[in-house]
Amino acid sequence: MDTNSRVKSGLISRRALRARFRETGIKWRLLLRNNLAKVCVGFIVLEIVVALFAPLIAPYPDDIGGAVHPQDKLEAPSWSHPFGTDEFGRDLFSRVLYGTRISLGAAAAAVGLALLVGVPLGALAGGIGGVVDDIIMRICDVFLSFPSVLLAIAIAVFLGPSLQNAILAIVISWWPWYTRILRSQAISLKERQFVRSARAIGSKRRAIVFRHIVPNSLGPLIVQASLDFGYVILTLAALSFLGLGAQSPTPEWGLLVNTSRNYFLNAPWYMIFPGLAITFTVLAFNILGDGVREVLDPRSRTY
Amino acid sequence: MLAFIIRRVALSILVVFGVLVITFLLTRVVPSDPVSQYVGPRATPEQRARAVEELGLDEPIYVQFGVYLSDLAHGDLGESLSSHQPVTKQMAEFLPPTLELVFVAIVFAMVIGVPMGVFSAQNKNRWPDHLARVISVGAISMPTFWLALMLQLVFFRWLHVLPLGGQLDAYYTLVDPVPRVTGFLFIDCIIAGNWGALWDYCVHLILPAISLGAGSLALLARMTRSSMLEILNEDYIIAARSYGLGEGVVLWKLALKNSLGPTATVTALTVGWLLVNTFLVEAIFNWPGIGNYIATAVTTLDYPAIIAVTLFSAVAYVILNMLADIVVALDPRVRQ
Repeated sequence: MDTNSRVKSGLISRRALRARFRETGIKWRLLLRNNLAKVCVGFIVLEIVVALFAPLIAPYPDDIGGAVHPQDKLEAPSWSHPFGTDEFGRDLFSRVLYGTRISLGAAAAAVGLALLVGVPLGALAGGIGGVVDDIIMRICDVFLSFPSVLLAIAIAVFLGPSLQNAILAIVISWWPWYTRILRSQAISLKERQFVRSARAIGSKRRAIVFRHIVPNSLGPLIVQASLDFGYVILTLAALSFLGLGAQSPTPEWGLLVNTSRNYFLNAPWYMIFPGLAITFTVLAFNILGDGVREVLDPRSRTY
Repeated sequence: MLAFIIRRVALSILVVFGVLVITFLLTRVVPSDPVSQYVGPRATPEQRARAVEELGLDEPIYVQFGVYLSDLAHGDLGESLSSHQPVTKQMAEFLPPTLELVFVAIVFAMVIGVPMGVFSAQNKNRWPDHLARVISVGAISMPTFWLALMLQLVFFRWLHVLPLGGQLDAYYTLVDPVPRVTGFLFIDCIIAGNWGALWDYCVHLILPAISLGAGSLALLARMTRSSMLEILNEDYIIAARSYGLGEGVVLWKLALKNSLGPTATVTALTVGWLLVNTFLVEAIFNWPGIGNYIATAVTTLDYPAIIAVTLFSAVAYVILNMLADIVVALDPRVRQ
C-alpha cells in the first residue's frame, strides 16, 4: 500500500466514521423523543452520579461500613433517617445510596468482562469459520442451554461466596450471548463490499477481522450489552440474596433484602427500600431497552 | 421433518454431555482443594489420604470423568454432606412439592397472561393496553424474592388474609395429617378424602404461585400481545370481520389460536426459568421442595446436593427446549 492510498483510506475511514456518528446522533434524538425513555435516561444518569459520589452524598458515611448504634435500631423512616434504620441502627438511606455504586459497578464489571471474553471468540468463530466456528458455537450452545442464573449459582458456590466471585460466575455464564451476536454480525459483514475490497487488496485475515469486522459489529453489541444491565443487576441481587454475592457489612441491595427477612414484618421499610432501588434501576434499563429496540428495529414496534 | 427431529435430539444429547463436563469441572477443577471440601479443614493426614483414594483423585482426570459418568448412569449422585443421605433419594422426596408449585405458577401465568395480552392487543394504545404493559414491564423488573416478601407483608401482616408460608396449617400437619402416598400433596389429599386439608393447601399455594409466576405472566402477556397485533393485520382476519363475525369470535377463536405458537415456546422456556426461581421463592415461603433444599445446600456448601439439583434443572431445561422446538416445527407454516 503506498502512502497516497493510505491517506485516502484514512480519509475514507474518517468520513465513514463521521457518517456513523451522525447516524448515532439521529437515533439518539429519536430515542429522546420518547418521553418514557427520556425519564429513564435521566434516572440512570442520576444513579451514575450517585454511584460516583455516594460517600460524599450519604448523610451518614460511617453507616456504609460496620458502624453500630444500638440505641437507633430499626427506627421507622423519619426526617433524619428517610429510609429508616437497620438492626444495628445504621441509616438505610446512606446504605441504599452506596448500594448504587456496588450494583452498577459490579454489573458494569460483569458485562465488560463478558464482552472481553465473548468478542474475540465471536470474531474467531465468524471470521475463520469451519471447524473453529463449530467448536466455539457448540460450546456456546452448552452454556446457553443452562438457565444462566442456575449456572451462575453453581459456579458461585464452588468459587466461594464473595462479590468478585459472583461477578466471575456471571461472566462465565454470560459471555456466549456476546459471542453469538458478534459471530452473526461477522458472518453478514464478511460478504459486504468493504470487507471484500479489503480481501481483494490482499489484507491479512487477522487484519480484516480486527480492523473491519470487530469495529463494525461493536454498535449492536454495545447496545445489547447496555440492555443486559438490568438483567445482570437482577442476577447479582439474586446471588447476594442467596448469600453467594457481597458479604456483610457491604450494603449490596440483594443482601440488604436478605438480612431484612428476619425483621421485615415489623420493620417493613428495611425490606421495601432496597427492593425498590433494585426494581427502579432494572425498570429504567428495561424501558430504555424497549425504546432503543424500537429505534433500531422499527419493525418490532408493533403498532 | 424426521431429519430435523434427529438433528435436534442429537444436539440435545451433545448439550447434555456438555452439561456433564461443566458440572464435573465444577466439582474437580474449580475448588483449589477438593479434599478439604470432602473431609473438612481439620482432618488428619490419614483421613485426607483415604479421601483422596475414595474420591479417586489419584487417578488421571479422564478416568475420574469416566467414574463420574458411570456413577451417574447408576443413579448415584453421591451423599449429601450435611444429612449423609443419598442425594437422589432426597431429590425424589423434594421434587413433588416443587413440581406442584411450578405447575400452579404456570397455569396462573397462562390464565392471566394470555387474556391480558389479547385484551392489550384489542385496546392497542388505549389505557387498558398501557396499564397491561406497565404491569408486565414492572413484573419483569422486580426481583422475585422481593415480590415474595412484599406479598407476605401485604397479605399476611397487613391484611391478615393469607398464611405466611408452609404447605398446610399446623392443624393438618399435627391433628389431622395427610398420609404421604405420592408426595404430591394435591393427590394425597384427594386419596385421603381430606377436603379441609385440600382447601388449606390451595390457600397456602396462592402467594408462592403468584410470586413465582409473575415474571412468566409478564413474558406471556408481552408475547401474546405482539403476536396478536401481527395476526390482526392478516387478510383472513379482515375477511372474517367483513363477513360480520363478532369481535369476540375473531379475537378469541381465530386470532388467538394462531398466535399461540410463539406462546408455547415462551412457556417452555419459562418453565426452566421457574425451576431456578423456586430457589428464591421456596425458602421464603418455607416450601419443602427442591428450591428450599438448594437454598439450604448453598448456605452449608453441600456440594453433591448442589450438583444434583444443577444437573436436574439443566437437563429438564434442555429437554423442554427440545420439545418446544419440535412442537413448533410441527406447524406446517414453520416447516417451510
